[in-house]
Amino acid sequence: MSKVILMLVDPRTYQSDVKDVLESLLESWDTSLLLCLNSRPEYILSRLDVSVRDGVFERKSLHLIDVVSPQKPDMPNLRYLGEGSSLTQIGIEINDMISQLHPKYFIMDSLDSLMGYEDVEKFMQDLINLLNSDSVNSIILVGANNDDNELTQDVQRRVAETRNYSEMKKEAVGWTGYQQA
Amino acid sequence: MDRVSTGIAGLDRVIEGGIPRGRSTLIKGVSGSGKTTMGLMFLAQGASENQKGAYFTLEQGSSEIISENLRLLPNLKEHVESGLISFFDRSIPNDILCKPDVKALFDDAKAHGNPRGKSDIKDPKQFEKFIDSMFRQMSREGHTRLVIDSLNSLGRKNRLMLKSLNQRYDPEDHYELVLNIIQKAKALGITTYLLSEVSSLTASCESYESFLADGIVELDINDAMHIRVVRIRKMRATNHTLKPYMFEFVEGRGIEVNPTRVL
Repeated sequence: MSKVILMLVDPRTYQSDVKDVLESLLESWDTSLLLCLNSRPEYILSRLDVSVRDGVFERKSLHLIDVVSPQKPDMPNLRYLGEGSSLTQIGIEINDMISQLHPKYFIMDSLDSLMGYEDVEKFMQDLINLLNSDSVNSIILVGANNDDNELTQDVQRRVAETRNYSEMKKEAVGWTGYQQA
Repeated sequence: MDRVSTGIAGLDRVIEGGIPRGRSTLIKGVSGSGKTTMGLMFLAQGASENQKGAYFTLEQGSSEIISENLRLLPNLKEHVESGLISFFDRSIPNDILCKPDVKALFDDAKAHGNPRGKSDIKDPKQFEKFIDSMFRQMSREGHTRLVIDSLNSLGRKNRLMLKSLNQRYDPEDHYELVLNIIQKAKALGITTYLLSEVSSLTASCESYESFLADGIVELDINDAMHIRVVRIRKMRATNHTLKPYMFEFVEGRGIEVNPTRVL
């Protein structure tokens, strides 16, 4: 059964941790939808391991919604909305892409970027309902420094689980490849 | 013969203007002899001509390589930020033991073991596949220069990885890996430096890397005379001498070779 998870990420290691989260999900080559509200899609993809990046391009498994770039980047499978888009526009695009793609994974980077928007609680409620009804395994990323923010707490009540990525790193079994040889 | 500048004017002068385009050159030297700096200067030269280059590192992290060479090559950071120099970083980061499996958070991935999941961690061919991916990306993005740092690390890591997977290591595998790199680079017209660390140039025997590469540049440190020397051991399609030339590290300018100062 799918679920929506709120993932708290240490702001000091945010970019590196988000890279790892994405690689973990994308390396399975399942159809994924990434909502870019924080970093530009080009920047996010440039940081991925080359074999993951290469794979998602070849398999066309990663689709993106860009709400950050000042102009449309030259990238495949990207829906461009651009900075300053309204929640309504973003919501319409997400709806459209989920109904078309039925992705296995949805990643939202990040909840922090929506703080301050009007009616954002309603937007997140509708989004979480949509993700659950379409059975999309979802990760909503948020900076751990915003864990006591009203919006974060509201979302936390609505999602299946809240995780802290730093805690997960401490618990992780780890990479048992050649490093331990 | 179409040639590409090494980025070191004095070195270019003694090899008819530069490295033949699309060829692979073994940069062989003892620890601290300047192989990394030479590799970065090669890419920086390309960047100054608006050509894209890539640095494939297996042991030292890319940020460390950049920070350690900024005093010698102050334009390096700018070239990296502009995208003219890219790093393919396969060094092991400090937190590699702490990489959680996020997919396992979702019940179906855990329950079914994610059979469609694909990770290269347990794949004995991971280095070949990584190199293939790297060349595909280089071709897509129009890279024309490449530095592999280093062939020793590649062989060592490949060996350790196979051992951890209980797979037999065959020295022929390393030969094939190096040959694959050289042939792919040549096919794509990418001029390549293959860095190779040796404990001593006098003691090192000829390896198949020396036979495979189109050129060999040796960097050495003469402890008795407190000087550094560079010698062109081999360069196909190029008229050169075997004389060792003295060189220096100059802050802000990198390696400087004076072809009139022969050891």
